[in-house]
Amino acid sequence: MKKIFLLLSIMLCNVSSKAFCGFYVAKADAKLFNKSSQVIMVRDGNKTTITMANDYIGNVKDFAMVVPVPTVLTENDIFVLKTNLFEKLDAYSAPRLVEYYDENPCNNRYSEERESAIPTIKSVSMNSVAEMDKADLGVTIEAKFSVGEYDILILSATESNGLATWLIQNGYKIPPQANEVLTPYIKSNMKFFVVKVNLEAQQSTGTNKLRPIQLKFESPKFMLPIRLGMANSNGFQDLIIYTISKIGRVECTNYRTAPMPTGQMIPEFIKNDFGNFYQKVFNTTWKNENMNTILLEYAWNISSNNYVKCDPCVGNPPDYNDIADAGANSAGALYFTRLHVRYDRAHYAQDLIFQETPNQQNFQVRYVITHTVTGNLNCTEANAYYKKVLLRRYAEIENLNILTANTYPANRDYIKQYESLYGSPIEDDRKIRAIRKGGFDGGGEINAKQDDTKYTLIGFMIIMLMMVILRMPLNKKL
Amino acid sequence: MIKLFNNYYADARNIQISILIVFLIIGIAFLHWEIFLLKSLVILVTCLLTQALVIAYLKGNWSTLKSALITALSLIILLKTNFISTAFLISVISIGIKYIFRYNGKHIFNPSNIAIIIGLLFTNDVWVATGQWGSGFEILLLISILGIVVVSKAGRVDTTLTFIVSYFIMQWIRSVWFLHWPVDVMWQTFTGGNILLFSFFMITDPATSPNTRIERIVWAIGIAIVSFVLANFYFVNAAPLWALAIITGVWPLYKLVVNHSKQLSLSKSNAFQKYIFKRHTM
Repeated sequence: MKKIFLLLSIMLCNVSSKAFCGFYVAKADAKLFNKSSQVIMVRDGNKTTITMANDYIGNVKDFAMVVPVPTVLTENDIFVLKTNLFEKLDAYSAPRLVEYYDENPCNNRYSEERESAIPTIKSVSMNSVAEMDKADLGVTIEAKFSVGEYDILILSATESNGLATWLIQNGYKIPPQANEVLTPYIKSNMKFFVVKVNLEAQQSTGTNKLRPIQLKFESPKFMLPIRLGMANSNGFQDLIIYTISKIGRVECTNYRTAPMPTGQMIPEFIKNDFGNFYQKVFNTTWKNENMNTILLEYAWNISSNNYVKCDPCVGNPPDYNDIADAGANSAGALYFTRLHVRYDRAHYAQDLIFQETPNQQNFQVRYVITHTVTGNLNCTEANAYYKKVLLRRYAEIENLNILTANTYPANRDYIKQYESLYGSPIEDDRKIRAIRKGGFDGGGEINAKQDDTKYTLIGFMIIMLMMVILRMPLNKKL
Repeated sequence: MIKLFNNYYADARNIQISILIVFLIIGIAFLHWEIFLLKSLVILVTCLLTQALVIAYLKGNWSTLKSALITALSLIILLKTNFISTAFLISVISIGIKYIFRYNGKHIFNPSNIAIIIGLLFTNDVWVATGQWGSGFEILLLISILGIVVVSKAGRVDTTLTFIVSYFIMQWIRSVWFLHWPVDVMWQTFTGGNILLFSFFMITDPATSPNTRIERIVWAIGIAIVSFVLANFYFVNAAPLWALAIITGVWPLYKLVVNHSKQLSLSKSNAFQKYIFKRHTM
């Protein structure tokens, strides 16, 4: 079990990525590419605490980050946390694979249930550096301090050209879209939180990893500024948001939030390839939802008086210390949500705005594989068992194809094995025929569902329009 | 067949019921709304039963059940709660409040609207999923075309147009001209299902919107202004819902003031004419 976990974790280490919140302004001409990042958001009344993971891999001299914040932060509002908080939350709330074992039909045996899970795509590295310079371009340095291994400036600017020039003068390559992106924040009187690494302080931490940065501020707006991170990106970026609220589930108000498909039975051969499988499922679901929907991966009541914090558990639930580190107060009701958004400039014009809802429903993404009984079965019930397994395997392949839009190649032997054991061919069902015909090869992307819906709706609209035009009397009082 | 269709088409409420059912089906099947069967049934049955009780007690017209059905469907789409008891309570309130707060023979508040607001204010078990429709061209097409059918039948196109246009103008001035957000921010907001549903289906209820065209335009502009202020300066979620509740609540007061001043000016002009007549005949 542990071996599986280890294997899966190793398989999932992704190397590159940048954080979402700021844009990465590189000193060198390195190609900037935001891939994925993680954020914890804690909301309590009007107080927001945001913690940003920092898995930068590369030369720490080149690291820098810019985040818009509503107020000038003081040194007491900024913290640097230990690195494993994100791994822990990721492991706790990741989509999980559950195994069941069939009972031997020939004799009684207890079925066992075991769990294994996959942490999702690991986050990010950032690679650029901001150096400090006091040029008068309408840029005011409101505050300056060091926290942990970071040197932090809070800037306010009067116009985006000034801020952009200030950054350029300090040797950063500004992405061409940066001006457009900075202006609304400047006009809304937001400040800019600029971070770079203090090399001496970083060396004294003894580790090469950069630690997460946490900001606390008070604002009636509960939002996440993702637009800056899009300025230097080459395509889609993934962002995983963990939220902790005292009220209930957190959801986005200006973009649709939809749950990931969960609970399906999938074939046994996924067991050692769950990471790849889940990436395909996510990709398919995201495309089906028109690429502008936030996907819910986990939601659970983690109040201290709720003893069942996961079911099945694949990682330890956050304990008192973790919750305190994230900035939440663990007394009373506490609710954890995990959202996964994949965004780009074309599909997300606005920053994400959230609301805490009193929704207390628990949700998790969980897929089920059922191991069949191995070995020879010599009893009268064996044939019925083979038939049951065969039908179930067809269903599992069908689920696989639906979940991954036929992009996951399935093994034909998976069915053949039990077809030969069962002996006679299974009754022809339309679905089974379809699977036999085309369902094994992983033949490529099928976007049929999405287009189908769109054209149906448009056709329906045209019909309605015709009805309106034909029925509307000319002298009707409007 | 045609006669049946004519009969069906004659009452705007029939069309609205069908369209709300269509929205519900689309939402559940395509948009993955989390709508629970038992809760929806409770809302439906409670609204209809409460309305039936009131009709029997007040010896009213049984066709009012259609309005109750519309309220029930709107609540099923909009109202999100954890507990069924809350859904029951909100449904009873939505129908009952029609008969408590009345002015000039009509009920003051839009029933589904005020019930949701009361739920948001006084229970901690109600929320509105403002993003549940998403945004985009298909949503815009769907809601606006179906909406135009209902709204033109009810004779309330002026309300819808005024609200959307005035809200759009205010938002444009603030977001694009003043704050320099890119234009697709406006597209994202104004193709959002929640705001379109609101402007086509909620504020166009003939029973709660004013009777004359001028009044309706003033009313719609008022709602747009309050929505704009609440959304942009107080960051209220689902601002149009609150704006509608506020404006409909304040409207009778406004009418009273307007009528009083009219009467005042009328009586003044009467007195003046009497004076002139007296002077003339003296």
